[in-house]
Amino acid sequence: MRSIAFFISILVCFELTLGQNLESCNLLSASVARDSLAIKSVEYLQAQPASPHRLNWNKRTTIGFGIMVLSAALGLYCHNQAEQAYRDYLHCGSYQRMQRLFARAQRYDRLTGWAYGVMEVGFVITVFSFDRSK
Amino acid sequence: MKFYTISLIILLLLLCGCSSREHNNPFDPLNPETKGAPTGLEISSNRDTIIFRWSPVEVDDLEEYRVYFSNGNNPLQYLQNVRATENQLQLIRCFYDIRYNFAVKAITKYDEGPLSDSVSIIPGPYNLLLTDYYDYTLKRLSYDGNYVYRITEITSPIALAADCGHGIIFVASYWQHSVFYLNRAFKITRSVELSNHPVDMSYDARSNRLFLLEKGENRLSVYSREGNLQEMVALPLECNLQTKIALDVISNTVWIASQNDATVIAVDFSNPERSVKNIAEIAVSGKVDVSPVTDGCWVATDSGVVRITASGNFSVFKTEYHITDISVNPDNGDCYYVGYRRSDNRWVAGRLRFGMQIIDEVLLEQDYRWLYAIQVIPGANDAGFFVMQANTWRLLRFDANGHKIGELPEYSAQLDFFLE
Repeated sequence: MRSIAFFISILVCFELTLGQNLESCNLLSASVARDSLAIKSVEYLQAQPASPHRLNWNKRTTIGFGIMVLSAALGLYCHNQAEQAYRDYLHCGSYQRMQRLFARAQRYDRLTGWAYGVMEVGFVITVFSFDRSK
Repeated sequence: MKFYTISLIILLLLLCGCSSREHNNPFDPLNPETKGAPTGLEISSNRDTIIFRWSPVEVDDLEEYRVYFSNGNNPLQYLQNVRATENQLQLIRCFYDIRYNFAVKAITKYDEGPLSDSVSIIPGPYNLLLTDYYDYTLKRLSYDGNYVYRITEITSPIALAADCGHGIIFVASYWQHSVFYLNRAFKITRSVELSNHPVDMSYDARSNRLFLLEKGENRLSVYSREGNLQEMVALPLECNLQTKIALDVISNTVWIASQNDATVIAVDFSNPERSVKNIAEIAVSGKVDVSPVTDGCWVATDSGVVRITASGNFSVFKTEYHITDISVNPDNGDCYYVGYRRSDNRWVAGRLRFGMQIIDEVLLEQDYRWLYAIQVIPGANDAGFFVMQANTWRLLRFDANGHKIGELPEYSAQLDFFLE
């Protein structure tokens, strides 16, 4: 289940990146389509100096990174709690306590899942906060 | 764009919020394998003692196990408690030929678990030793034929005998030209090299002698219990895979039946000169078996069951049947047989009850076909028999009235039996 979620998050990133690339491609093809032999936009052929590669740390990055770190810590805590509850459940000799421990393990499993999901959202926010086109 | 992205993120979060834990606590009634009850139930019997075992339930606060039992078709009732540190119960002084059923539940400090499935066994005075030539195995089976207690691998075991008093099992290996001596735990303690392939053997526990036939040889070899060749008796026939031997320990006579030579001979070991008599010329089709009660022997033939007296007189029963195997109850002289009627391929198993006159009782008819081996359970009272069914390759156990009480799969048609 976690691997499906991870795969979907990759898809989200891919979709956002691909969308922007397609938009710039459409602009280029519109300008060239008028006369395929003539070089109308010479500036495209001229060497462009590369802009200095610098991370643009901004408010969105801080929020995204913060979400990512906090939810990762929360996820780890919940995971450990779930594991502990399940270990106790496996050797429990009381039906009542057994059910309680199993339910606790399941509840913490769900919380772990949510925390990791939020962590992935934080990751996506962090990655896209570096996008200077916006 | 934004809508799809948000939808995907929500979906992602929903997918994350699941748990795939399984109910693996052995005491948990929701556990799909144990259902909260003890598992790994095993039952075995040795004469009048039954041992019932189960896998320990590994949970905290386990206080004890509660064992229930019944006999026959009665409902289960409480038998006794067993400490949590133990996981077996021994029941002694059980009655023979009665089915005992057992079940167990685990008790913790807080709760009482559900009752396990029940297992059953019929104790009896014997366990069955069995060699399977094609399966390369020696097995010890329960009296009721439902359980395999011990198994070991031996190359091409063609014949089996045992000295129960000294705990020695003799297994003749066809391809290894040897007789292996095994202890009760099926460990080989000694082996005797032979000059040729062994085909059949019999052991006399009174005189501690092993009588052995070898393929292509015109002789009967006699070995001591220690494996030393004591003597060889010349025979008027060449032994092959269809040559069978049976020993009458009372009259000290060895009976040999040869399918190829269509001959039955008797070697008298009470006479120092070892007189060899050609008793009869009949179409032998299977085993020869002795009848210590009546003197003489019984032979499975292509035209019925033949009873031969020590003086050489013989009478034939079930003349319209091809008899595939026979087995004689040494305690009352009854001869059990399996075979089929040549005219319509009708398979039967039955017994020729020995008395003032011999009475034929058919035990299995048409319900079971392709019966190729039979072994009666000895006893003054009828205790039933084992048969081997060729098309299903099952070993079936029936009670004295022909009701099936046990079965085990995966047996070939080339078996040898011994009751220990």
